[in-house]
Amino acid sequence: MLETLIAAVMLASLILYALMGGADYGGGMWGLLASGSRAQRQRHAIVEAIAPIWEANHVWLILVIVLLFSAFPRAFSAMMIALHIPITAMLIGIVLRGSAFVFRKYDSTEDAVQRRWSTVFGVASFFTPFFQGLTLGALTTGDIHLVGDCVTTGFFASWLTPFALACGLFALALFAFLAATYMTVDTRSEPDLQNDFRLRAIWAQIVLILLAIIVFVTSKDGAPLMYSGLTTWWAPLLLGWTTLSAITAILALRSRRFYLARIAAVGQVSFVLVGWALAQFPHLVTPNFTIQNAAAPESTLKLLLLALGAGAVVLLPSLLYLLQIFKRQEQR
Amino acid sequence: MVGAGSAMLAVAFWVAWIWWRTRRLPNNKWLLRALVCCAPLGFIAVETGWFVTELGRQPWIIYGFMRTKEAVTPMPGLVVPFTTFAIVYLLLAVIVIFLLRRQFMETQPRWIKKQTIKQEPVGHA
Repeated sequence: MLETLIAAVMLASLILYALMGGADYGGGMWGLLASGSRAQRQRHAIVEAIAPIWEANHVWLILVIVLLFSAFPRAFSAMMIALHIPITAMLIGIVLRGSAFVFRKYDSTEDAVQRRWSTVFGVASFFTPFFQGLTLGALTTGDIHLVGDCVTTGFFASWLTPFALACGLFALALFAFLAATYMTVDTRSEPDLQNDFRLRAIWAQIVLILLAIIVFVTSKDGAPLMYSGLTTWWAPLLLGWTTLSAITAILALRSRRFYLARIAAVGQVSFVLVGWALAQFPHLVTPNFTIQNAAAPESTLKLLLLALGAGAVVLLPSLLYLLQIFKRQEQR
Repeated sequence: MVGAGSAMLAVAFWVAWIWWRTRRLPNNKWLLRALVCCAPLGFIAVETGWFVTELGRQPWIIYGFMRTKEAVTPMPGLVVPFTTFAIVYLLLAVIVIFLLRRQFMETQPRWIKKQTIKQEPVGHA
């Protein structure tokens, strides 16, 4: 019971990370892909949208990792050993991205050097979420087997599969779509830019839907347990909600109802992640580690939940306050 | 770490003492020299502090409970991530120094800038 509760908190945290941090990755991607006569202004709008609170968004990823580490130590250990290579790649991406953004933002002169930071930032914005999606995908392939601390299936088996690679691309498209949709609201004072991001959001959504189909098809061979999870009784229900939000998002973007599109996009991303978690439940690393058998002793879990409650009292109001401040500044 | 901290504290007391005596910003030559010497001490204190905690703990990763040797990942070829991270952080260090220098050149008073440009005509891009 306690362990399921903590797993639910981890899922909520992951959703918040995708909704806020994911949009930052997407922003970086669109910065690199900026084109046409308004490329410079597109980049500027993206930097303005990301800058205020972007480092704070990593809080959610850190929370997921810390919870995994303290509540499910055995699963954590298995993941860190078997997925050492993609996780290291992701870490390097996060380091380069953060440094490039700060170097760019606080550099004193605007010249070629500064443009180079933008390129590093953009490339790392593609690189990092790709490995995040790939890592999540690899966990469900069922190719991670450990005897003691030794991975018997090798260090490449789980994540170099078509399914895991498709998951990586899916994460890219998801974040790109989310960022472009958010940007349509952020650029409401500049209609030409708004239209650029509107078209980008629609295209990203189309690519996203295609990739979703590819992920589903590859899961049949690549992640059999995930596939059977996605074909059980509750799946059509969740799939229905996801499709509904996806269609709402596209129609809202077409008819320029940008606030509605943003809400639909948030719904769509949340449903995707909830569906993924339900399909994988109760496995953390398919098939050997479940929420139950990898859980820490009950006393640890109780303390963790207390700490979470205390932390939430401090974190959530301050975060809401932070968001509110920047929103107020925007309106001025 | 302790040495650097004490030295900075001593200089701080020195400044406070002069301020208390004269109520003016200090312009004592030796004090200003000491302040310049203090500039890198903060960095040195932070870094050496980490050395103390991390090296002082060995061979334990969790003191008295688990050895570092037992905690390391069984992943072979750890020299590859080690080298990669070392290169990444060296690169970042070089870039930070370069950027700080750039920042400094931009913000210093105009008369110094003129002088430096005369001495070494490095063009500003």
